[in-house]
Amino acid sequence: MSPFDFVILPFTADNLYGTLSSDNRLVEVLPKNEREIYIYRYLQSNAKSIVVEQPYVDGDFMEDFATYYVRCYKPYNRFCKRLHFFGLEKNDLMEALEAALFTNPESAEMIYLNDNYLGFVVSRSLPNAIIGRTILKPQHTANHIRYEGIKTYHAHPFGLNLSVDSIAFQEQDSVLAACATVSLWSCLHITSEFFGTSMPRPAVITQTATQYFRKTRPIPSRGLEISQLCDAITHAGLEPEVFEIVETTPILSLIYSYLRLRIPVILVILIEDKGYHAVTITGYSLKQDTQPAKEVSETEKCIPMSGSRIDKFYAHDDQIGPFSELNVISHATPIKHQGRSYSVTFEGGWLKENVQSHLTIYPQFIVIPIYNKIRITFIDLQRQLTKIDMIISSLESDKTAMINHEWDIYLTDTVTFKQSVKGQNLNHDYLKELLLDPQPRFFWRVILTIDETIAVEWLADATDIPTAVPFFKTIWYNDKVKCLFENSKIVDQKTGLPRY
Amino acid sequence: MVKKPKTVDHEQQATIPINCDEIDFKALRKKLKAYIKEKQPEIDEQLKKLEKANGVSPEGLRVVINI
Repeated sequence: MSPFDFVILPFTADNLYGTLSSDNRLVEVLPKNEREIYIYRYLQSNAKSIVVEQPYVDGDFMEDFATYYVRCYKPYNRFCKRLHFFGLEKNDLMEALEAALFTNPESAEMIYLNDNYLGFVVSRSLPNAIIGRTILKPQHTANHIRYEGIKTYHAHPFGLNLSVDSIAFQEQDSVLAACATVSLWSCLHITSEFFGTSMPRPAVITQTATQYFRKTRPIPSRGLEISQLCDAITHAGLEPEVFEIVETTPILSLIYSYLRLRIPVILVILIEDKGYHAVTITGYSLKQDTQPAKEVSETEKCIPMSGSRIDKFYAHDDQIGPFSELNVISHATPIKHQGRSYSVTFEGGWLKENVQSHLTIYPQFIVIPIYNKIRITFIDLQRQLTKIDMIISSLESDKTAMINHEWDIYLTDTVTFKQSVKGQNLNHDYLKELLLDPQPRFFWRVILTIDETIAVEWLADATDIPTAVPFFKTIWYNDKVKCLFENSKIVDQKTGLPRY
Repeated sequence: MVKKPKTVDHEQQATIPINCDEIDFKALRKKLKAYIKEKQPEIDEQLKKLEKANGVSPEGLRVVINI
């Protein structure tokens, strides 16, 4: 074989584990590592071939290498391997690569190659945690599954222009990064593009997180406190929006409301018999016919929201793998753990030792790196809607008008909003009014559905003062509801905005 | 000049069971006013509880995430 031939291997467990291996990590022990097994199973149904790019200089690992590994007595390799995965058999892939190699990025050959590209894994030459920067296409696809916190990544092996929509994953090395660092690193990959802020590498995140407050030496990293996570977010040019999960927190709807802005959400969890862990939530499964979960304690009240019908989240868990499932477990009677009660817990890839049953995952905190001008929180908005929801509920119980209602509440930006309303069945003149109307850059969409029909939508300025009434625009979708709300003076007759 | 509609046409308008012609709005407004007055303490309590959900406790900030 010429040294200038592509290195292509059929996608098998042996070939994957073999190519991931290095002098520091022998192939004999690889199949025992859960992350590599996860990667194999994740790709198993779609991947047919592996293309090996070696040597590969990975910026994230190079920063880690320069910060720590270069000063070890033992010589570590600064070069990595990058494994690209394709849904084409070896011979077909060889032909496709040969054809695409000499063409431009817009060519039919390149498009064909991209259609079959599944992403890549960087293999680090370390004794443990060899899974470096990993960009893999989301595996689960269906109409009810949405991946919000993802972006388009480009890879250019051999001068090709490959792309995949995903969010970066890597395994913690427990030297420069523990789970909190890695979850924030993934998150900042997306926010950097969306908000135009920085995208620090894991070593920098750990250093900035521990620059003001530390109880122990920051490197080798033994984890981060929530306050340190906040420091790292601030250093990246964003504000840390933190919610502690209490009995009144509608956790599913809260996560959903921020994910819809297309930014990932960090969920800090307490894993039964293990401890505190952080994962990056990037997507969710929401079926229209799913029974809404009781999100808050039975003694607490909560407005009915669309997010409560989420039955599963997809999260980057550096101890499990990319896009790992977090199944929502709703408890009609809240369960108690360490003195706290939980209406919603999760189950995922965390299993009890030697027993194939799931460990219970208790949600503790939600951390969102957010743009400084987004000041009105989901909870602020929920407070604004408490009274009007009670009034609408009274109309239902009184059987004056409606059968049941639900709120779809989420954060958006003006560009996304204006693009989305173009796809709705709106009257031409009314649509033009909406498109030409000046808006804040970020705002909340509050959509009221009655009997699964959109009735009215209010827009709330996310940049406003938390104690103010942030609603600034009404979009009526239904004449009957408009008539009812206006005549009963639930809304202002002139503006259509809530009066309560 | 095209007359600007107040609402948006929606194909499912008919499915919402509201008949404004049959509602006595004067009575409804009175009823809602009384209802809000009665529920105000409950609303105030709910708002207070939600305020607690908006943020993190000093102890929470010290939690070490280390798995």
